[in-house]
This record gives sequence, C-alpha cells and structure tokens, in this order.
Amino acid sequence: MRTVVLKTVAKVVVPAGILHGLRLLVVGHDAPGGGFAAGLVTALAVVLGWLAFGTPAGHRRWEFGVSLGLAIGVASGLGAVLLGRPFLTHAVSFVGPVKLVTSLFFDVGVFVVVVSATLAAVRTLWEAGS
Amino acid sequence: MNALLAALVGLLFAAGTWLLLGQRILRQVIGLGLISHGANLMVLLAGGLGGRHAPLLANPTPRADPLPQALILTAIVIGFGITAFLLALGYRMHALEEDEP
Amino acid sequence: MNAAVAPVVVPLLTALLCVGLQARRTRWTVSLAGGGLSVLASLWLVALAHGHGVVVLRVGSWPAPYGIVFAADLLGALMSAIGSWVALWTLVALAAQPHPRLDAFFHAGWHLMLAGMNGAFLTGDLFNLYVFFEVLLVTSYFLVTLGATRRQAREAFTYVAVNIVASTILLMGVALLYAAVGSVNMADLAARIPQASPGLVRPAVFLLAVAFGVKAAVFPLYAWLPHTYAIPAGPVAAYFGGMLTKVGVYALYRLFTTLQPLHGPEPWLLAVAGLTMVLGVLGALAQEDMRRILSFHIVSQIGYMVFGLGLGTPQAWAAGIFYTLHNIAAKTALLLVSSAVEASYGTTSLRSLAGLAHAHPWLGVWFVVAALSLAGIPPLSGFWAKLLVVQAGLEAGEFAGVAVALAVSLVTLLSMLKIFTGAFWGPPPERSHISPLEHASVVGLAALTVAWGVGGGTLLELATAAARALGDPAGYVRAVLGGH
Repeated sequence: MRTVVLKTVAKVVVPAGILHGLRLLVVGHDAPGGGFAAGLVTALAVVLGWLAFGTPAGHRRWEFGVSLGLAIGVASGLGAVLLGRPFLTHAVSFVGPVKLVTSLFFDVGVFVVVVSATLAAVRTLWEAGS
Repeated sequence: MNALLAALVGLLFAAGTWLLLGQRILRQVIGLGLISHGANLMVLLAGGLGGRHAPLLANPTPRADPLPQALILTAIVIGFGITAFLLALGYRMHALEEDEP
Repeated sequence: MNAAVAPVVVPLLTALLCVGLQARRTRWTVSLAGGGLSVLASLWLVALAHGHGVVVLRVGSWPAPYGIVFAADLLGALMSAIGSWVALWTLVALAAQPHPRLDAFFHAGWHLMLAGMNGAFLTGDLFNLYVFFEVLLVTSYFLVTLGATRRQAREAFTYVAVNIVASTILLMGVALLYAAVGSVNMADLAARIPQASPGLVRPAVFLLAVAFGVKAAVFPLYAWLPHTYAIPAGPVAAYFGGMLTKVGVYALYRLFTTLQPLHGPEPWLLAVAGLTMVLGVLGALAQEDMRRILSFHIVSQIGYMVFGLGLGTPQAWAAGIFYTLHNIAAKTALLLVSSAVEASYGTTSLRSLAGLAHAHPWLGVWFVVAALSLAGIPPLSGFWAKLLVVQAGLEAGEFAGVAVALAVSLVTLLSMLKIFTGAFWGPPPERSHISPLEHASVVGLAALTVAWGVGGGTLLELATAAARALGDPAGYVRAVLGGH
C-alpha cells in the first residue's frame, strides 16, 4: 500500500487538502463551502496521510472532539439567548472590506464535529480491521 | 429531463430494494444507500429542475431553488453518518460470528 | 420565545458534558441534574403554552415561513414533559445497573435521544421533524446495539434497516408536499394545502402516514417492534417502550389535525386502529416472557391512541391524548419492573420465575398498580383513559370499534394476570437483591398513574385544551406566521 508514488503524492496533497478544507470553512458564509464540506475535505486529507505514512501511535479520544464541536455550535447560538434574541441569531459586520460573521463559530463547531467523527469512525474500523 | 430523472429514481429504488432483500450485510448496506440516494434525487425533482422565479429579485430569470439543495445536503449528512454506523455494525456482527460460532 | 427550544438544548448540553466528564460520580450527578432540568424546562413550556397558546421561536431571527421555526403548542409541550420525565426515571433505573465501561455513552445516548424527541415534539417545520426523527433514531440504533451479542446485533440490524426505509419514505413525503405547496413550514403548509393540487398532496400524506405508522408500530407495520424491544438492556427497553413509538403517534396526530385535518370519523384509520389493538393483544397471548408480553401490549395500546385520532373530533383527540400520556406512564413503570426483575434474576421468562411477591412485596404492589391501570381498572388513570376513548367512540357512533376496544381491554387484564400468577405468585424464589433505585424508578412512574387516576381532572383539562388547539389549525397558523 505505502508505495513511493503514494508517499510522494501525499506529501503535496495532504497539506493542500487541509488548506483547501480551511479555506472552504472561511468562505462558506456566502460561497460554496461551509463547516460540513470543509470538515470532510480536511478529514479526507488526514486519512490520505494515514494511508501513506501510517496512523499516529497512541489512543486518540476523537469522540471528545465531537462533543467539543457540538458544544461550540450550541454555544454560538446561546450568545443571542443571553442578549434576549432568538436562539442562533447571528450578527454581521464589516471591518473595511472584510466581512465578519458570528455564524463562523457555528461553522467551526460543525467543522470540528465532522473532522472528529470521520476520523473516529475511520480509525475505529481501521484498528478493528488490522 | 424530468421523466428521465424520475425513471432514475425508480431504478435506484428497484436496485436498492433488490439488494436489501439479499442475505449479505454489505449488499444490504449498499441497498439502503441506493434507496436514500433515490430519495435525495426525488427531493431535487420536487424543487423543480427548471428553477423558480426568486420572490424578491427584480429580474425575472428563473433561479435554482436553494431549499431542496439544503434539504438534500442535510439528508446526505444523515445518510453518511448512518452508513458509517451500519458498516461498523456489520463489521461487529462479522467479528462476533467468529467469536461465537 | 427561547423557551420553545429549552427542552432540546438542555439535554443536548447535558449529553456533551457527560462525554467530557471522566469521574463517574460527577458524570452521574451532571446527568441526573440535566434530566431534572429537562423536566423543569418542559414543564415551564407546558405552563407557557397553556397560558398563552403556541410558543413560537423563529430560530436565528429569520421570519417564518422562510426560517426554521419551533412552535410548541400544548400537545407538543405535554409530550415533551412526559418524555423528559420518562428519561429521568429510566436513567435512575440505569443507575442501579451500571455498566462501568460504557457509562459515558449510555448517558450521552439518553440525553441525545431526549433532545431528538423533544425536538420532534416542538418543531414547527416538517423537514426538521424528519431531522429530529433521525437524531432520536440514530441514538436509538446506538443504544440498542451497545454491548450487544451476535443475535442481538442481527436483530438490531433489522431494526435499523426498517427505520432507514421508513425515514426515506418520510423524506419522500416531505419532498412531494414541497413539490405541491412549495413550503416545509407546518403552519404555511396548513394554510396552503387546501389550495394545492390533490394529485400531489394525497400521495404525500399517504407516504407520511406510512412513515409515521412504522415509527408508531401500527398494523400492518409493527412486526419490527416486539423483536427489537427484546434486545437491549432493561432500562433502555423501558425508555424505548415508553416513548419511542409515541413520537410516531404524536406525528400522526400532527399530520391529521394541523396539516390535513380530519372532520369526523376516518374509516381506514379506525380499521388500522382496531386491527392494531387486536393483533397486538393476540400476539401477547402467545408469549411466555414478561418483557415480550409487555412489548406486544405496546402495539395493542397504540391502537387506542390511533382510535382516538381516527374518530376525528376534538373531544376524541382529548381522549387520545389523555390515553397516550397515561399509557406512557403505566407502560414504562411495567417495563421498569421487568427490568428490575431481569437485573436481579437474570431472566423475565414466566416459566423460570415464581414467587416474586413473597421476596419483594413492594415490587409486587407497584406491578399490580401499573398493570391494573393498563387494564383500565378504577380508580387508576387507565380507567379514565379507556372511559374517555369509549365515550368518544359511542358519541361518534363507532360501536364496532368500541366493542373491540372493550374486548381487547379484557384480554389485557388476562395478560396482566398471567404475568402476575407466573412471576409473582407461587413458592418464594431464592431471594435476590433489588436496589432501592429500581424501586424509586418504578414509583416515579407508577405514582403518575395513581395521581392521574385520583385527580384526573387536571390532566383531562390539559388534554382537552391541547385537543381544542389541534382542532383550530387557523390559530396555529396565526401564531406562527402572524406578526410580520
């Protein structure tokens, strides 16, 4: 499985994939992308890295990431509740040409959930298979 | 185009049902996947392929209806999670079969 | 009003905390406190919905029907309150049967399933109903298979496959309705379905009814239930048996009151209800195992709830809602007794058990209270529930259905006597310990059926108000869509 071709390709594709995933996360507010797509792209890049270079040793608590991501998502909606607005109300503002939205926090939460859940699933099946 | 896609939905359902009625777990998982893809395609059809006129915009060119796409994305996400779960469950059944003959 | 989403967010956050916490004692404290908070949140919602009508939350401040809406009417709030109550007490029963390696997952599953159920009860959006159904089903798949053996994994796979197909049918129903009306907001649908083309609406309603029918386990779609409920750990089975099918019943109520209101008796729903009652109870007769008998009775009693719905008058709906709430309490109590017996004696087979009433007199008392309530003996809540359903049936002139309901309740009594003589009568067994927590969990639910029996007026008043709200879809539409 771990051929030279795979390793050489992975050296380029893995970092590029992770970067592309992060880009999708940031532009997702009004362009194609968003937390889910970004999470899948990033997780796929990481899995490719595992295929090429092997999985990192030691037990990783990926399920903790799932909780953390969900918590970030819910928390991003609770801010509005504290201000007396409906749950998940988000704010938009511009700093110069840069558009800032609080819904990015929600997307980050989704991103963390998707990455952790995908990696947890792949890792578990992987360990069960070997 | 509508009729073609409708036929494709039917085909996906037929193939999925056939696989689901088989004996092997992996086939059943794939069958369930095909059925849910058929349903997703049907949601897309339900939104209308030609697009609808956007309610708030002045220029009356038809635009793709975003709601079915949002619905499908949600359904795909759910299907993705369930497929992962089914594969794990199938694997577990396989492993248990070896443990307790 | 953010209250509408509190019964969803509280269990969601509790589930997250439970996964993160390492110390067992802290985790239990947080989990039980979260369960208690969910109960309080949903009771608060009941008070709000009773006082001010539908509690509407437009998530993210997007106006309805474009944004996502939570709309808690009295029926949804009541269901979410009883759901939280059941989750809390079955969790107490779980505390008596700890599973050290899997504890954190059980807790997370418990609260996530509650979040899914409450979401389904409180959402004002048909597509979100599908999503919350998935949330609670995925959690239920997970709870069913946790720590399963090979045979259990096989049964669980069937359960999962059946439910995935049902969910797909549900999604197609939503899609067709969207094609016909161009909306998935329930209030918007309720307002615009009458003008939509019946050629699309009819198949859509049929698909939705089939999907909800599978989840509610009505005839002829109930075959999955008795097998599935024989698999999981006792407290899980009690949680499922109490609540899971009732989410389907709730969805059927929503479909045939708010979205496609019935006006008067609907023959095919009544036929389905009658057959569900009869076949469930006949299935129970053939069983020799406490848990299996109770599982078949779940099916049988779903029939009464659908009967109330099918009669098609607010008065009958009130009877059906009363029946549903009573049945959740009584049924969960019985399943918790069975769970306690199984934990201590390792079986629920009536052939292997005997004399439990000697060894555990109090457990016998709780069982008799809940069983008599289920069979409809005064002064327990089951008596009023059946009386109301029968009364509504007589007023609608559905004498055949009423006769079936009465005959089935006689057979139910026989079934309960069979369990009692089989498991509780006879020579005392070698005594095994039953934890006070198990007793507490059973009492937590049996107390409800006594309270609703002696003081049934309060619940009847709530059920009647909830049914009156269901009978006024225009009011629901105004509450959700009005104000913009």
